[in-house]
Amino acid sequence: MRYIVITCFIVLSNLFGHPHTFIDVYPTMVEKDGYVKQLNMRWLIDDMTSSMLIMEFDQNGNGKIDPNENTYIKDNYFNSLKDYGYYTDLPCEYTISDFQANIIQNRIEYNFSIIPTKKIKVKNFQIKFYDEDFFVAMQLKEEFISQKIPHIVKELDGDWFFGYILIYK
Amino acid sequence: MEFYNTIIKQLTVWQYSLNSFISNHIRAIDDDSSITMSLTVLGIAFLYGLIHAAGPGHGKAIVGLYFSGKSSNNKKNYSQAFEMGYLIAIVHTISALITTFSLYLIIKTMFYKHFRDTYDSIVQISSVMIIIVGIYIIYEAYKNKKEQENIDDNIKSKSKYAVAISAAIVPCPGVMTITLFSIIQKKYILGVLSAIAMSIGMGLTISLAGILGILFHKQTSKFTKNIGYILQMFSGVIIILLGLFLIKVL
Repeated sequence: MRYIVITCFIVLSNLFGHPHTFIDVYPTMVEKDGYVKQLNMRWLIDDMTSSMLIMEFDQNGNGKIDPNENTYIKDNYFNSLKDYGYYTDLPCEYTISDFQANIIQNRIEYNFSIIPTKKIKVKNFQIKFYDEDFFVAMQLKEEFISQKIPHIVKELDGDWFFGYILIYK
Repeated sequence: MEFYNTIIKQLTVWQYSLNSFISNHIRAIDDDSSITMSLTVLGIAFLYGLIHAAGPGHGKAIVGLYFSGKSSNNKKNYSQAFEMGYLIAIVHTISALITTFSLYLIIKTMFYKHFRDTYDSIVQISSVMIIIVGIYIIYEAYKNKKEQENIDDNIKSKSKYAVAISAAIVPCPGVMTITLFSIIQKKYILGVLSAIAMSIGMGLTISLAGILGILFHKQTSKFTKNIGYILQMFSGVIIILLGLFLIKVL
């Protein structure tokens, strides 16, 4: 039996991806009267992946993302992340707006807003950050959350991936 | 599953730190301090390879399964585990280097997209090869049973190479990332050397999966002696299923 169990274990382990891109997540909650108005997200992509992306994104090589380059990134890269739920799992439907990419100290930064489509209370509001395929590892640390709304950060142990949960109190 | 998740989490945290360390150091290297810094980068690349391969993938499952049918009494099997581990690491790395340089030289723009597209295509090819290996293992088990020979000593060396290539043809994105990053920083030799250092680390980890397979065989030798044929067939079926999963048939 042990043979079968371990065989299954190592075979199953082969099915899962493993991270090659790391994204630091800086979420900011915007609330109004105890309800979630929007979430402002800032992603900082790791240096190595950014170097590849900058090679393509910064087409005129001026070290910054111009408006036409931002449109290109949004259309060709960012919008396709919808298939992955923007690596952000919310307990409600939402829309995405205000996308802006930047280059910050050789790293690609994505800024965007998540707006819930229905009224939802801040209290007990949960956001999960993960990539089910685990090609991307989302990194959420306490120091990435600067605002004072009470919250906790927990680790999310998916069966095949690893992520974080941000819970507002 | 909790133990597995803990391992995955720790490996991810380490990779996150090492990834950042390597990129910072490669970027910081200049002509004056190149030897010490370069050696540091290579040492860390080795460690990165060791940890990176400890995560899911990289052919450990196939190597582990392959050697689970091998007897621990035969010392030759241990050296074969290292041989296969490093064969996989070398093919894995060469595949990554060729893919990276080709894509970089031919395409230059849209790199990241092609990087993922190419990766997907090669996964499909690899999946077909994995299925063929699974069928081959079942065929071997059936043939061995028919000839009433010992399964342990009867898998021919050519199947070993088939296993290694099928597991390794998918280029390692980790190696591709480091190599590409070095190319962009115009540190070509360091990029290739980092890839090699990383593959040495990966080879060690993959070899250990084979050793684990052999040791496991030892612990269950009584059990496997009686139903070795069934387990061998089971391994073949599992490998075929793995290939089908990867090719997204299932």
